[in-house]
Amino acid sequence: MHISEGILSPPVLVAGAALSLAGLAIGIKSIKEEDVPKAAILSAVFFTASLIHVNIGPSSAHLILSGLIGLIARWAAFPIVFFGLLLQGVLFGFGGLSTLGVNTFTMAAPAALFGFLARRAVNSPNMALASAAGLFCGAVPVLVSGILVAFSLYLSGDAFATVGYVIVAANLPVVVIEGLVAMFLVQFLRKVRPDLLRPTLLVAREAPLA
Amino acid sequence: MPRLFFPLLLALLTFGALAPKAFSPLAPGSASAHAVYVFAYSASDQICSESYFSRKNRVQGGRVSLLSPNGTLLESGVTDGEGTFCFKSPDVAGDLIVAVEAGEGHRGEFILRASERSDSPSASFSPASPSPAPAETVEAGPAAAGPPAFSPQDARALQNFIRAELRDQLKPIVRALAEAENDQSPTLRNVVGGLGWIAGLLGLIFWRLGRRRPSPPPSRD
Repeated sequence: MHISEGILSPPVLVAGAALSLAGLAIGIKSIKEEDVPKAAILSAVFFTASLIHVNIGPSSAHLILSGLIGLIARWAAFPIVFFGLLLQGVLFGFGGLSTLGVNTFTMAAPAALFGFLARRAVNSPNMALASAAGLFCGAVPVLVSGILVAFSLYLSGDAFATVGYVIVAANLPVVVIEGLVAMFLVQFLRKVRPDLLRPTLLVAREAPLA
Repeated sequence: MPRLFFPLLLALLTFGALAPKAFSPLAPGSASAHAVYVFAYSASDQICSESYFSRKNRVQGGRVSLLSPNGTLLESGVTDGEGTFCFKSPDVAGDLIVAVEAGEGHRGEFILRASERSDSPSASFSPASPSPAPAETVEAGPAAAGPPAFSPQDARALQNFIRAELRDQLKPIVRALAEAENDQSPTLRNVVGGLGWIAGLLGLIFWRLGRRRPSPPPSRD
């Protein structure tokens, strides 16, 4: 999922950076003071998750856990993913500094969007609906991220169909695993820390938690 | 217990991330999904490049390009099953860039410094010959017992022979050095360092927040 330096064309890099900047602005604004440690820990989770390799079938990929981050942090997924990627780029050589904007957007945007859309479903009294929302929000953002990566490569001159197929196929095991992880996480958090799943960000300002 | 949830999750992830490194025999094959590492070295009249995603996962069928420092394409090729591709030495002296594109947006580069090149056409023949020549005459002086004097052609031939032989013998060492120099795969230090950075940033944010209100109200509720 990390696009390296020297592959994307400048317009794509600029567009990605602009979109990520907008997301970062919304995300940083949405973090309340008491949520800062939560965001930092999620950033640490994202930072380490990419070192866990999933080897199933011929292809292998690594965990991203963006869907899970989106579920808990919603728009704050942007700054969380950004710092994780920045450190991965500097310390591990994953991705690169010039592609930081594009990479942030491809991984954070689907996570934030789906987390935001599912904010009511995961808190619904119907446990089955909440679990389904968790499964969906864990799995689908990874898939969408893959498609966004393929699309940005296509805009820079690669053949969309082949690249998209390869990326999606390589990440299918990750999609399944992260869907399940997010589902169990939703079920677990609803039992022990339901407040973590409540729409604390953005929405919470109007409706404070009980 | 619920308070321990995130720290436990993080600890588990860190362990999961490092466990395959610690027990490498248990982890066959590794990711192909984040970065391409490239290294190159010169061997006799070739420049060989090797590229890999991880120690056990080589870049197969990747597009390798040999570029001059200003970015002009000199030669290109496709890696074999071992992630290796060798170029014939270009007629260009100086630094070279070896770039590998492995698809899916993965690309890696390696800069082969002129000082690390033993292949350059200018270096392989004449310039080095003046220096051994005096040494030979000095040695010939004391050992007057009677080794037949070398003609300059013989000396030159011998020198080239030794040079070629040395290159072949040193090839594994040069290769290993290039590999070690370019080893960027994450280590425990990187992981812990990254987590430390995040903790530090967190502290910085809290420091700022703390400065913003001079007398903190009792926040226990």
